Order: sequence, then structure tokens, then C-alpha cells
Amino acid sequence: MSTCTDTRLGDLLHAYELNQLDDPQRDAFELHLLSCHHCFDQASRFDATARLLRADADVRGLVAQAANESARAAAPEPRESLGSRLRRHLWPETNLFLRPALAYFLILVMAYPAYRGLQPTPTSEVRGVQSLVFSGTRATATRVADAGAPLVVMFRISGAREGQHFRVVVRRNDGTIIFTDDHFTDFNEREMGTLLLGERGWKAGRYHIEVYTSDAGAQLHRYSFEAE
Amino acid sequence: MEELARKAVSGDSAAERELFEQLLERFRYLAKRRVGEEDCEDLAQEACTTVFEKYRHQEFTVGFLAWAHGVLRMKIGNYLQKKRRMGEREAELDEDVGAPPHEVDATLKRHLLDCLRELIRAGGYYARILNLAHQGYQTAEVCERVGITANNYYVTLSRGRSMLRDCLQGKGVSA
Repeated sequence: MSTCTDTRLGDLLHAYELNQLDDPQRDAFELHLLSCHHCFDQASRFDATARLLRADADVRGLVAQAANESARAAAPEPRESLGSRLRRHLWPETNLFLRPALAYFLILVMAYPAYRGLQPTPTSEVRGVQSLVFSGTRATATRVADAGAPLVVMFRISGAREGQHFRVVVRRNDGTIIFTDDHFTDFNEREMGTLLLGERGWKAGRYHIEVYTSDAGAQLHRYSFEAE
Repeated sequence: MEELARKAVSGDSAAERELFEQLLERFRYLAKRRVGEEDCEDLAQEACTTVFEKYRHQEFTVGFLAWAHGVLRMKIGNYLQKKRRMGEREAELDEDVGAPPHEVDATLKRHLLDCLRELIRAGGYYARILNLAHQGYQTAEVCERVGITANNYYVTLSRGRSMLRDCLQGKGVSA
């Protein structure tokens, strides 16, 4: 079996058969065909097939159809906008309850309270409520309170009844009033009044709680305490 | 054939006979590719006769085959020029399109279509290249449109041809 004497030219055989060589290439290849038994034998035996490949209407139709399908398959998809892609991912054409966006939304709604519950506690310091209890018999006793902590003061007023009005004033030792309530009525059945002073930025020092009658303004009791 | 030509020039009649048998066969093939089946035999014989008359006295500066090929090209050129002048053909080549219908081997055609379908199913550029060639695109244009180099183009064609040939031979067709 013969072999091609010049494979560089021999590779042009089918291009020649399909009339795809320019003039210089065609002349060079034809000269090669004159000297190369292998290529001439190949070309001669394939001649009828090459003729069909070049010009037969059915061959052309088949090839054109295949080429068109191939070109369509290779054509890039039209570029989809970001919004469209997002919408397609979030809202695919499925049953309403299977749509991921709806699922995400429901999960968020249900998970939010749990998420909030898992949030770390604010780091601000929680200070305990402190209370001072004054009985009427020891009205002048001095108590010690923690400066800055909420303060609940309970004091006894003999004869006080539920719903009876009193005037309560809290002042520093220098006379500055820091709290006043002209209609203090918060007494229980045991004549104990409860005064919520809260966080008032107590400074260290001495404080006085003065209780007056609401009508005449006469001072009934004075309780004193120290804040440290 | 160059060796045969040397022997023929030196007086070897057997070499001369063999030389011109081979030359006529090749000229016939080349002429058929250029001008079609109708006049290829006349052209090939006319070119061979000219070569035979002159080759003994010719100085082959580029070799016998190149000179002989030049003779054939000149004959083909004259033929086509005459045809153009007569208005019978507008352009050179393509003996197939617009030429008188030649006999088509129906079996070969059926098998070839089957083989082409197999080749198309196997993928690759062959069908696309062939389609562009059918539309008249030349090599450089095909390469540009398909996005391949000229070397890849020739390799693709060669592989496609080999697959077709093997497929046809597998169906008992000589190709």
C-alpha cells in the first residue's frame, strides 16, 4: 500500500475535492496528484462520492439542515437580565406553595421570634432594686442606700387610709428637691405607703423624705437615709 | 513519474508508454475536475499529445511534471476562455452545478446519505464546513465563520472524509 509523498499537500485532498483551494494551492495540489500515486488513487476512488458531496441536492439539503441545527444549538442564549434571573430562581413556574420565595418568607416570619429570643442580653448592667422600710416609730432613723440603684421606699403614716392624699417631697441634704408628689395616695390597709423613686442618679449623700398633709401642708414625718 | 520521464527521454519506449498511460489518466481526472465530464477526455488527450510532441526537446527547468501540468492548465484555460466567449458558461470550474445531469449511482448516494447522517450525529464541524462550501465560501471565510484555523479546517475535512470513506467501505461501497 502506497503512502503520500508529501503529507502537507496530501492533507489538502478533501479541500481540493470540495473546490476549497485557492488557485496557487490548487495548482500545487494538482502537481502533487501527478506525482503521488497514493493521493491520486485516493482521489480517483472517491471521485463519485466527492461529486455527490459537492453538488447533489439531497446531500446539500441534509448538510444544510444539520448545519442549521448545529448553529442554533451553538448560539448563545439571549442574555437574561439580573432581575429576570432572580425572579426565575425565586419564583419558578411551580405550584404556589412550592415556590422558594414564599418558603423563604414563611421561614423568616416563623424564625424571627426565635431569632430575637436567641439574641444576647444587652450588656448594660442590671442593678437590683433596693428598698427602704421606715416605720412610723423610727421616723428619724438613717438608712443606707446604694447610689444609682432604683429605690423603693416604704414608710408608715399612722392613721393613713387607702385613697387619702398626702404630699411627699424628697430632697437632698442641701435642700434641693429631687422628687415631689402632691397627691400621694399609695397606702395599703396597714398604713404603709410605697414610694417608687426609681433610678434618679442618686449621688452619694444624705437625703430626706418628707410627708405632708395635702390640705394644710403640715409635715407629718421625715425619713432620712444615706446613699453611698 | 519524473523517473519514467527521464527514461522515456533517454529512449526507453516501455517507460514512455507507461508514462503517458499514467499521464493521460491523471490529466483526465484533473480536466474533469476543471471542465466537467463532457469535454475532459478531449482536453486530456489534446494536452497529452502536446506533451508527447514536445517533451523530448524540452528543457525541464522546473521538472517534467510541472511542465506537463502547465501544458494541461494552458489547454484548460484556452478551453474555458473559448467557452466564455461563446457565452456557454459564465465561470470556470464547477462542472457539477448547472452541468448536464450525469448518471447518479443511487446505491452510492443512499449509502452516502446514511454515512453523512452518522457523521453528523458524531458531531464536529464537517457538516457546517461542507454547508458553507456549498454556499460558495472559500477556506479563509469558512475558518473565520466557524472560528478555526486553516490547519484545523484541513484536518477536519480529512477526518470527515476518512470517516465517510470507512463508513462507505463498511457498507460494501468502493470509496
